Amino acid sequence: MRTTSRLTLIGTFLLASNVAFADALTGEVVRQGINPVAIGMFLLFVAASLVLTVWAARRGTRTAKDFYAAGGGLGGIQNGLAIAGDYTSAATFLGVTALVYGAGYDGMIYAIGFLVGFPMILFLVAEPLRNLGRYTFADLAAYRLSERPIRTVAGINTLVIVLFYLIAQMVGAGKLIELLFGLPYWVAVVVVGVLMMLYVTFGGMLATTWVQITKAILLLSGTTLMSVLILAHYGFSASELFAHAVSVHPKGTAIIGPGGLVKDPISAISLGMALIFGTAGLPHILMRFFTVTDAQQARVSVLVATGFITVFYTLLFILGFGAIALLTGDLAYQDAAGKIVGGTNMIAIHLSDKLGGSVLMGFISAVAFATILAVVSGLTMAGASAAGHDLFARAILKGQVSERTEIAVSKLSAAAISILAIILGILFENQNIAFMIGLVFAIAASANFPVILLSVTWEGLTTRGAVLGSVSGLGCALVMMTLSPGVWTTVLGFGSSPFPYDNPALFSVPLAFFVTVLVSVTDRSTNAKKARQAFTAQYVTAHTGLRDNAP
Amino acid sequence: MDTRPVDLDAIASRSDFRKLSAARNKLGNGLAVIMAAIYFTFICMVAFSPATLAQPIATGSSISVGIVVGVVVMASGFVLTAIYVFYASSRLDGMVKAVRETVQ
Repeated sequence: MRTTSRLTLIGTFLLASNVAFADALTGEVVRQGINPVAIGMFLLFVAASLVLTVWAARRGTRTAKDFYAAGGGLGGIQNGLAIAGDYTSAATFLGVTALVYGAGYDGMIYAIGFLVGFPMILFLVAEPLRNLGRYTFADLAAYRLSERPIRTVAGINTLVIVLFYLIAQMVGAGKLIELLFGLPYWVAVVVVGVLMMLYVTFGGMLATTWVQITKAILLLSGTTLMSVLILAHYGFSASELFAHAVSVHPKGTAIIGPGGLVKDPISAISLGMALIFGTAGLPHILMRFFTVTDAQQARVSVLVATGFITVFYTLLFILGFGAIALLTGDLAYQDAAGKIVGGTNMIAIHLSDKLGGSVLMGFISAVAFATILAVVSGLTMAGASAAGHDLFARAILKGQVSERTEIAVSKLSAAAISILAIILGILFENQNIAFMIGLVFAIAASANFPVILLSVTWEGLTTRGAVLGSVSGLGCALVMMTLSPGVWTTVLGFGSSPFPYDNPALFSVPLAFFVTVLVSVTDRSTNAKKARQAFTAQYVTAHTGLRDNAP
Repeated sequence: MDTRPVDLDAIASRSDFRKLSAARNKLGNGLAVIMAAIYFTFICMVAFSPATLAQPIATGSSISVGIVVGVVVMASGFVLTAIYVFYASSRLDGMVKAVRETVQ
């Protein structure tokens, strides 16, 4: 039964790629050509990033603090830019622009969700996180709870999130490079996978940070430039732009109001919940707070990152509407069947070509490429630290391991994660990447956020409660996701889905909180008593950064 | 680095620490509730009253109420963050410093 449907699935893919290939032979090869600016900028960025990696490797990645936290001496502005660089992924740059292009206002609903999660991190967890943790967010939960079970669960959650997130990034990367170089998709994915492996294993967090900062600056400059060029077409009047977009889009005025993305109230609220609470559960973002000197710099990081992200998403909205206004009906960017060349996720790249020809397209492609590399290396870094620090050194060997061995294991994990990401990236070629990200956020919101929040705010939290709450959040999110229309019907092809909503957060987040609290309250073990007693000291450290200095 | 043991439990019951933690909790939780309220109000409008958001801001305009509301929601995220950072730097940091100085 399973084999049959999988074969059918493979058959469909083969058929689809044959059709695409036939199209490519007729006209696309000539039109795509080789874009020398794009290649030049790709190579320049790759060369610069490798020089950075060599520099970072020379400064040393031997100690845990250097490898995981870039030495812990970054300033707030540097880290803020790096957070922005870590967070604003190619999946959102390409995916949200594509979403706005296809559905108009719906893209804004996503964009707003990506943004509001950020202030929540600052209000609820940033300072305790900086004061209590060292390398991973699991440090926070393990501060007074039993280390082994907590780190095992947190480590597994991190790896699940990292892998899902990486899939979305790899798909974006593959399509982008495929479009620009005419390279086979899988080659593109392999190139990205190998580069991120080099950054993380040789340059650690320091190289990753500078790749992210460079990318953040490039990305914001690129989107600003494109927005200015779009608005210049319409006399710098946003209302002219919207008017034109409405007049040419097949859906007409429907695009300035909420539309098809949000099918029903439950889906809308569920997605909202995933986005606002999920950000505070993303391991690669939380990890960045350990690279700054103190809680004050952690705050500045969030302010810089939030400002950056606010501007960036506002610009994405202009880009999306610009794409509607300028590209609708333009045959140069459509294939024989009337579909966007390379898929709708490539619309931002086509828009750059329309606005500034091959030079701007080369620049924006290089920026998108840099964006992918920055995010995938941040994710790989988070995955490597979860595997090496939380799982290997702490959970399995109980800390009885030299720092050197731990770092070596983390680096090996980075290599393994990269290889896995390459394989998964190839398997998931035809998924909508913005939608995929919504699922990642649901897992982060359900499996990590409740435990992180309760461990700093609630005295009653126990190890058993945290572990079972987190596991039930993860399990519930994964099961509901599998049974949802997006996976059950679209990916697996099993027909109508047992679970009607695409995002499980509305159910899985409260469930995780409920289980955590219920199990904690009923936990009468000695361990639970100890955890409750340790809360006061942890609370003082969380607020002041003071530690008891006990040997 | 000072390596004398610090009695954290003793600090916890001091009034200066209590003031500090209460002030920070009030600020953080308050702003988190405001942010969540703004956001979920927006999401509920999307969910239950999409027609309100789809209305043009003026007859004949192609800018909808939803676009304006969306920009306001985004801006509010930044403004709330700025309020936190400003208040924490001007008030809380001083209180943290005062607590730390008494033990170091």
